[in-house]
Amino acid sequence: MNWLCEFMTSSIGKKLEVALFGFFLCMFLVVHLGGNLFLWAPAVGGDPGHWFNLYANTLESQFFITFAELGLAAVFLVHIAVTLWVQWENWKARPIGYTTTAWAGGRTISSASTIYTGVILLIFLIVHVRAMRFEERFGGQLYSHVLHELTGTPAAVFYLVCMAALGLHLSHGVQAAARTFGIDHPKFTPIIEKLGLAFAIVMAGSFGAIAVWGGWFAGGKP
Amino acid sequence: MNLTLKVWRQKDGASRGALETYAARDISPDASFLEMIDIVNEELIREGKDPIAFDNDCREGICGTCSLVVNGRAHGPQRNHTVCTLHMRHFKDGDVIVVEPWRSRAFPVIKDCVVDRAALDRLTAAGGYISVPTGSAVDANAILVPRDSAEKAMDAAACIGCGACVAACPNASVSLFLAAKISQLALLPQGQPERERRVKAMTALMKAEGFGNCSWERECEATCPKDIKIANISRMNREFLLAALSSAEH
Ligand code: HEM
Ligand code: FES
Repeated sequence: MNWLCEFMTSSIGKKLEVALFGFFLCMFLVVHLGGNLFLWAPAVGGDPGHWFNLYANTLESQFFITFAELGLAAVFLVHIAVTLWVQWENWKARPIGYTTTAWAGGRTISSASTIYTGVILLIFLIVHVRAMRFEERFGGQLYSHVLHELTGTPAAVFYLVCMAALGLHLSHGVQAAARTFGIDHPKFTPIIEKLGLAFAIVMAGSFGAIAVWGGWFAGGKP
Repeated sequence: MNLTLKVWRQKDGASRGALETYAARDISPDASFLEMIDIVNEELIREGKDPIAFDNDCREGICGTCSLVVNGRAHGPQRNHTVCTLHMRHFKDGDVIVVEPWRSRAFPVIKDCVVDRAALDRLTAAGGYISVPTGSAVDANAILVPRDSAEKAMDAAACIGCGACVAACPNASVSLFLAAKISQLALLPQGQPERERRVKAMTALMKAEGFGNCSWERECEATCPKDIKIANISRMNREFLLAALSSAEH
């Protein structure tokens, strides 16, 4: 078992964990977005929240939901803990920095800001999960609760800033994760880079659109 | 040309250093960057002052000894270049030029802009070789190497071990250097027997020497005088993963 411990704490091993759990988080985003799109399902019998509430109640009444939630929390925890560890080592690796810095053309805004967009996402996670998961439900129905949380300029701006951070995080993260897994190929790498960027834009754009809709157009709390 | 230099001066590893300002006067645009420092040093010596210490040897971009960070960029403003082949025509009259040593925990400063890069030698010694009994050279065609592999191995072997990848990396990671050393052997038949042991030993030492971790910033690739590609780092990760999973050694 010693080898496993060594593998998990090695430089590349840690990056593989970050990439693998980052990939799991991306899968979660897809499922989460899918669920959220029920917010826009057509009204049934004058109730705009019919489908969304049905989806939410069905999901929440599954026997595995607690395990799934704990698993998801663990995935977030590992991704965050290992990245902080990796970042800490990276900072320690250059105790005396340069008085002048200029980049040679490799670094991008998104690659340079990964740790900072990550921290924004961490703050977002705490606020978001507290509001959506742990607060008393408005009228016992998730749809009206969600609208209550999203409505208004402060909420919309907060969500939009955080989704911009998500987009930046992913536009570097997806292709970085592929490279960490050892995938670099003249045929596939350009495709992976484009897919990564597209994924980042679609995720940030879709969640952002929900925030705009909920913030200003859905007619939630006055 | 007349220039103002701000150069990192540090008596030895134990002292604190600081940037000091020097005037470089009447420099020919055709002078190399190192010749420009030579001229400044001549004047410092004439004035009875301690000349600026900096590493250099071949001055033609092949030995990997020169190592200056110029205006925040390892080897200066030109992409994929060594600082010894950088010429003053790439600067403007009146420019202020900041000159600093490679910065990494693994590269302690010895004096001024000279750093100790023995960590790179230790990494190579950890596995960047093949163990074969020496003797007369074997027939060149005895072991067939596909052309494609030979080309890729040669590209990796172009590494001159200057350490600019470490200096340029925001994380002070040595991944590009290490990946070049691992790739040049992993791609050839001669490198196969020690393949797993090599990647494990070398990456373990990389961590122990205090280098950072790769986060794909690609500054190394943009800086490397020999234009070594980060595809090599992906290859190193594959080698590492396969070695961890398949080798029977603990
Ligand atoms: C929606 C949530 C998140 C998703 C989908 C996600 C996804 C990813 C992916 C795919 C990577 C690339 C892995 C690699 O570099 O190989 C990554 C890297 C990273 N993530 Fe996240 N992440 C999320 C949340 C967070 C949070 C909350 C933090 C920190 C507090 C964080 C910090 C980082 C850092 C620092 C890296 C770069 C690691 C490095 O370059 O060494 N992430 N993320
Ligand atoms: S002095 Fe030899 S490469 Fe620059």
